[in-house]
Amino acid sequence: MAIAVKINFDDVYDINTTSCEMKSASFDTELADGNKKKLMVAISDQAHELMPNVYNLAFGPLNANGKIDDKAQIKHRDYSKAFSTILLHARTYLAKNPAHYLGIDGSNNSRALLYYRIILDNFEYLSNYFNIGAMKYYVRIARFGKHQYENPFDFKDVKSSVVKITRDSPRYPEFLYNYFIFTKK
Amino acid sequence: MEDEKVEEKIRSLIEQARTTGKPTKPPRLVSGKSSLAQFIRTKEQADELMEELDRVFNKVP
Repeated sequence: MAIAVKINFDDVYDINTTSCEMKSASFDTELADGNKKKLMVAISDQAHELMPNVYNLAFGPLNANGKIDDKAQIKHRDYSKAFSTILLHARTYLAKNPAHYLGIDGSNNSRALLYYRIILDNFEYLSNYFNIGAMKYYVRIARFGKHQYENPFDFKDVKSSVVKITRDSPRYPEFLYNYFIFTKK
Repeated sequence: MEDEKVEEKIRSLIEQARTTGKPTKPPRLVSGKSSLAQFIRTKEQADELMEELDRVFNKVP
């Protein structure tokens, strides 16, 4: 089932910011069955060790161990409101940290595609608040002569390529990015 | 064009954060590190990616 998401920062859940540095916040999303679930939005505590201004944003419910279950499948009653809330927190963080890059991981293909569609479907609106980029990873496939190794993927040698998302970015579903990057406009 | 109501909301959230007064460590993720943290392992990879980011986001003079 395709999820249509309309981002609108005027229609968001109440955000409870739990850190003065805006590294974490929470809100109660309404589930499809009518119950509520607390979701955490967290921005990595430290930048990537080799890239001083690049931070990761993740979200999800807390599990029993107090970790964010960023792979949880949540059935929201209002996907637009939930994603608008997450992105409003991202925009607020960037207002306070204008030099930072904020990345959202498309942790599997369906999520990556969903995030890309949300960005494209809401590009006119989002581009008022963010510059948006997307990244693909390329993994080398090793071969010996004509033969391919049994496990040919060299995950220690990953190349990345970054593009800026524009209103003309390709819309066909096979087009997939792995990681989305936001800066303050 | 940014909406003034949204800007006010952002200012209010920043103020809310300021008044919490404590730098709370964000919870860890079930999935562990982000894919970016897993894949970008060397200074060469990081420098190459930063160069691309700066180019794409027009941060290069």
